[in-house]
Amino acid sequence: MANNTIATPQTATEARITDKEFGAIRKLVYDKFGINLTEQKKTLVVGRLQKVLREREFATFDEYFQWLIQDKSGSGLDELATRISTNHTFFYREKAHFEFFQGTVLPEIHARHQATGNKEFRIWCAGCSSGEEPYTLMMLMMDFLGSQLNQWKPILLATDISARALKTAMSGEYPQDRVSQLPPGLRNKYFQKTPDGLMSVAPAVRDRIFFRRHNLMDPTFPFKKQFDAIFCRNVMIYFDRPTRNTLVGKYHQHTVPGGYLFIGHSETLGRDETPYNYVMPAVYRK
Amino acid sequence: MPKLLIVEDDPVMRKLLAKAVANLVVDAHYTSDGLYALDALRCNSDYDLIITDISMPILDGRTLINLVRQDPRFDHIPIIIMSGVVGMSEIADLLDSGADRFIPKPFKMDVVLEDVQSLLKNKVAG
Repeated sequence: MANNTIATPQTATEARITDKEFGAIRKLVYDKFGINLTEQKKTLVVGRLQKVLREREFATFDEYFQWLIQDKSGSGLDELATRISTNHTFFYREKAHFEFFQGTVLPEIHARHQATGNKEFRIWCAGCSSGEEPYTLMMLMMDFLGSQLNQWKPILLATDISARALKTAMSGEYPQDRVSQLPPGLRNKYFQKTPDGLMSVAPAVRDRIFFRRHNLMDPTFPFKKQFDAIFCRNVMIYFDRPTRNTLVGKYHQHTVPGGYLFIGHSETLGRDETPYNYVMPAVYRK
Repeated sequence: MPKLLIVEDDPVMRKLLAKAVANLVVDAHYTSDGLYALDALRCNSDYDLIITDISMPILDGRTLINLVRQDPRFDHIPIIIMSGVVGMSEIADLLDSGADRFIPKPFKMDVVLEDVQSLLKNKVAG
């Protein structure tokens, strides 16, 4: 029988982490980003930070930690956040959400707003990573509004804790395999091929999105108006239960009545953990 | 050179404002939302004047005024607020909450110019 485990290449320079070092980094990550690195995540942390230690020429995790807490520029912490929280993603990941957004959420917002005269479709991607999700949602909104686009205002706020991820998001350029799951209609309409063979999001889509760095642990969110839908997918997996509950409570305050919260498919919110109503796996409604 | 922060989400309005201040010797910076204006202020608190719209997609002008007035790093910066859709009582509220001037939209170029000059003069004199 074939061995289906993949061996991690070991190099002589690979740093090991002591319990004390892991404890210190764990506390820092929790205090700064609300991310709870459990003992099970130790291997992941060591693996992901190995490159950082090598590039910055630290022999031990302790040296790295001492530098991190003294670094005034914030770039060290940003790099840490990026390494710890960024996952590989692609366009149309967990597609059931996009189909529900297109088939149910958008028509609902449209109907609600036609009755009140409100012109704004307000969506927030909290933890937008490298931008695949906000771009897809904006494309779906633009497609839904079609020839009426000029009469409406699709607004999308895309935030992430990592400045590096946001930079990728704002560039709007992706390797072809990352967009391969998108319905061809969207891909043909809203992407252009660059001379380097990358797929570039049309400026008409990109310019409508508000990208901004934001730490979900900030005690208050500075946005006043509520959102019709909030997407926070595969972000809260890093948070412990109390942090998650507080965050979901804050999302609830920032959702319009009848609006939606989308979380990752591998995440769940217990009944006692959320003021939202359950709609379908990973979709909740206020 | 005095530094201006102009916060306006409508590109047409931004162009008109740029035209209005074009003849002044000022360094004008433009942002399209109150959220970005806050970021700009946090990076550089040495602005001499803020001109802001009220209705903006993510963070509106009212909230921006409140946040600016609460922060000791930039609570002294004069603010001109612009809008086309508010009543008299609301204008009074805006001025109470910390705006220094209100300019109705559509605006007249000379009104903008006059207010900008007078607030920048106050700033220099003060």
